Amino acid sequence: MDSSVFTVCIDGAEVRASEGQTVLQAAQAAGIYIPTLCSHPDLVPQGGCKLCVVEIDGFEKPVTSCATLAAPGMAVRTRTERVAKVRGLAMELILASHPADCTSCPSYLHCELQAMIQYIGVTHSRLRTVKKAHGVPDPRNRLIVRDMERCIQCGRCVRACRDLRGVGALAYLKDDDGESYVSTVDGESFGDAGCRHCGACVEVCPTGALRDVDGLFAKEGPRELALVPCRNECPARVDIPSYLRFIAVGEYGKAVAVIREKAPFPLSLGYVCARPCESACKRDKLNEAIAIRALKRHAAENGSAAEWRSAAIARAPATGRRVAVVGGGPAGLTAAYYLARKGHEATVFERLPAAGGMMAAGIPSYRLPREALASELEVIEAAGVDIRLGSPIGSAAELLASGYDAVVVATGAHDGRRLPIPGADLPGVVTAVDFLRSAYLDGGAGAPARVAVLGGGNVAFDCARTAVRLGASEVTVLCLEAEGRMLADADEVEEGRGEGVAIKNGVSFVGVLELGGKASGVRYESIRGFSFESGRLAVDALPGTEASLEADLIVFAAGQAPSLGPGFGVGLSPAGYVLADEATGATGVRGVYAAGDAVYGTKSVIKAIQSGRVAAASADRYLGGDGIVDETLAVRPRLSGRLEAVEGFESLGRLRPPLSPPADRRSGFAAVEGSLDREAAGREAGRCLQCDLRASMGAVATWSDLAAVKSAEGAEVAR
Amino acid sequence: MSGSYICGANGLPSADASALIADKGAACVVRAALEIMADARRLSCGQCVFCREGTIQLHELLKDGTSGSATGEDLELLAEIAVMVRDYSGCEMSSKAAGALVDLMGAYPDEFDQHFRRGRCPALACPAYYTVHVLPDLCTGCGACVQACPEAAIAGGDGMIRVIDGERCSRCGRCLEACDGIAKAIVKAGPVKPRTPDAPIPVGSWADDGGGRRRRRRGQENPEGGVE
Repeated sequence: MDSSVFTVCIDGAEVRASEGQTVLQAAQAAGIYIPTLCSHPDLVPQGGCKLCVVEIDGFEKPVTSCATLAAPGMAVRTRTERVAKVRGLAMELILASHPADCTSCPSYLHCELQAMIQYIGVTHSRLRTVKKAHGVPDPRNRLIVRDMERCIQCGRCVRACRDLRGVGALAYLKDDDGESYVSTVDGESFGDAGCRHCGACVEVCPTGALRDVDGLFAKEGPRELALVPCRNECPARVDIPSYLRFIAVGEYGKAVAVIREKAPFPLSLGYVCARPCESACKRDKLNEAIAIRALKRHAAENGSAAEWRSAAIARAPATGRRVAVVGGGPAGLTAAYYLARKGHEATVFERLPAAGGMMAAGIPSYRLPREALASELEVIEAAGVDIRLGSPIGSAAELLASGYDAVVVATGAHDGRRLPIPGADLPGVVTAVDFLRSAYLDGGAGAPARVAVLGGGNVAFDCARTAVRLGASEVTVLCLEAEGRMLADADEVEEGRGEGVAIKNGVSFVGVLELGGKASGVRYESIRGFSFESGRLAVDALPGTEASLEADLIVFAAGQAPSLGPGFGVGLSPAGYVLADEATGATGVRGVYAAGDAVYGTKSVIKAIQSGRVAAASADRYLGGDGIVDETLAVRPRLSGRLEAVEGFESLGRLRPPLSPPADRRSGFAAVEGSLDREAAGREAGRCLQCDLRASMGAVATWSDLAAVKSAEGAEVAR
Repeated sequence: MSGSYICGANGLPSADASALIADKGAACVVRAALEIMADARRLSCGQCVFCREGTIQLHELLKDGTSGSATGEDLELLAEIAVMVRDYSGCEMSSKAAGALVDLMGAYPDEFDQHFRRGRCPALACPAYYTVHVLPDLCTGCGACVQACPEAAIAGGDGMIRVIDGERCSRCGRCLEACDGIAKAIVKAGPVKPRTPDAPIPVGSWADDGGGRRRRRRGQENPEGGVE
């Protein structure tokens, strides 16, 4: 037996303890509850709250168990009369200067002190009520709520900030009367104290004194995920804080490896990801979100493939099973990639002459250069995926009949919707899907002088900006939404405007004008507002505002839907979407799974990738595999958790990648957005608040937790 | 491992209890304890509950005990907290301060009892428990006390025996100092008050018909709360 492991006797029970363990730790490890407020599993003991006192044979009086090392043969009693007396008075003393009304506190029922009041059973105090008020106006800090009259000066936040993080923004201070209080050093602001906004102080606070502002974190879902909003909001749950840390130290290849653990398109995503991570970024509430997408692109452009390539194309031993993936967009390619990696023979059938789905046929090349996409297709093929272009598939049943063991349907939503207005079918009226495909896939298409795009989303701007580049001189986007409420990203609207796109907000379309059997413009009227009532558009039109816009080409950018018919052999919703279980991609047809826009409509590349992962995992399980597509491609360095204080960290602004000037943008299809340079990338990644550090902190076991454990054990024994 | 406890208290309370216990002389030990605890409260680094909150409670209790605001149970509470702070604060500063209080309470239980339960300060050091009077047979009517009084609480003109208005008097002691080198006519009094005229009368006209008899003042006559 290891000599550093020994037994101690706690409340009559023989308990194993190891050298270096405190009595408190040994008791907790054995499921014996000792009350404590100032102790925390991650923090050095302070021994200040005195609630953890125990009697130990040979000691003249009770000692704090958090600050006493366990020793072989020690006899500990945690519940004696003397112990109860010390705890009781300590609790009374703590409560004497704490507001008495729990129910008005935002931390009500989430408060360790409140739980402790119940445990110790102190109901009213005989002591003098002491009011401590150390107000802290700190308007620049929008993340941490301070309610210091609730502070019990347990010092957890001080130790977390100083010892865990090396920041030291919080300290015990003295006011002019010599009264101690806990606050930010060097003034009243967290920012001035060099705070890194890691949230460790809030995490360890046992009362309502330090709190997250309301709405900072998602309330549902596992807490360790909710605490990292970027990752929580990413459909594929890419480990964003980890790769930002690699970028901050210039380890770009490892950063890409981290992204590739969840998504085989890091570079493409670096160009076009819808970046829900940035909208969720905690730093966005402080000042500006981290430029996560630009950093991803920088890493993908500069990282060495040697860091990940061999692992990313490694395949499990061949299973002899064959999977057909219908549709070569991000969902289908992702599914095929993981199925090939799991040892199956994966074949992608792509109807169009290029792989990539909307990444090839829809997203403008000035947003996603096709070489970027090609470099990622190459890896997917190197992993063993057979991509067959120009291969339309009539039905899933035909694939199963021809020897495929499973099918993944990822056919996307390529059916552009035409508005139900007179003249919608005239020559000279096209859908956005068709317009973009002819521009980016078929090639050689031009645009007439005057183009009207009907719709206000990102696709509408893709069409308008493409038309500009194809030589149109008058391009107008017309949409229902009022200015500032458009569905398109603000960047798209602004960049489009910069390229000369005119925008007409708040209009509804009356019909397409006809001249000589051809569309010649669009008739519209102004609206006060609009709503969707049971899926149907209802507009509140302004009478007498009808007007016309002449155009040589009308583009409907009013949504798109899947184009599968009932003959394909999978269940479809009335609107034509594939019916599939969200959690598994299962369609209800044995061996047939579905993923991507065909299931849930046009969303984003990253969502399609996640959907492809889910379908791959399910198909793999169906084929006898373990269904595990998660992998570790980059070993994370052991984190010290230390951040150090950085002056002015709180106000560091977002660094933006350069944007080509409008004149250059209008004249060609080169990427509009440049890349961050190395120095900027390092600085931008360094702005990350590293929310994941908090998620990995230990949790305090409350007496009710241990009581639950005990009763579960009891039930176990009883059985 | 108790070394991991970091105490940031700066220094120790200045007052020395052991000297007082050896010879308290004319001092008020409760006031001495009050001063020790005021120091301790100021010196506490704030990291430990018995030191931080304990010294606050002890100081508040002693303030009440020396100002007539204490209740009957406060003396037991004082003793209970003092012992706990001494034994469990874990720092030298507060455990010495609380230890001094425990020792003073042990050496002079009656003084503490007088303060907390009877509203008296035998040493006449606690302003709430004494009043200030001009002895009519010693007053020369010089007016030095009037000059010294910041509260304008002393009535009487030239050649008149001065009378102190107990309601206005703040017990600052400046009249006592002023008179000390002249007539020594001003004195502090506890529950037993000297006989004085109700209003100023000419020097020499005071006739102590009571032959030194003293009357007891009633509690309600003393706004500072000198309760019987």
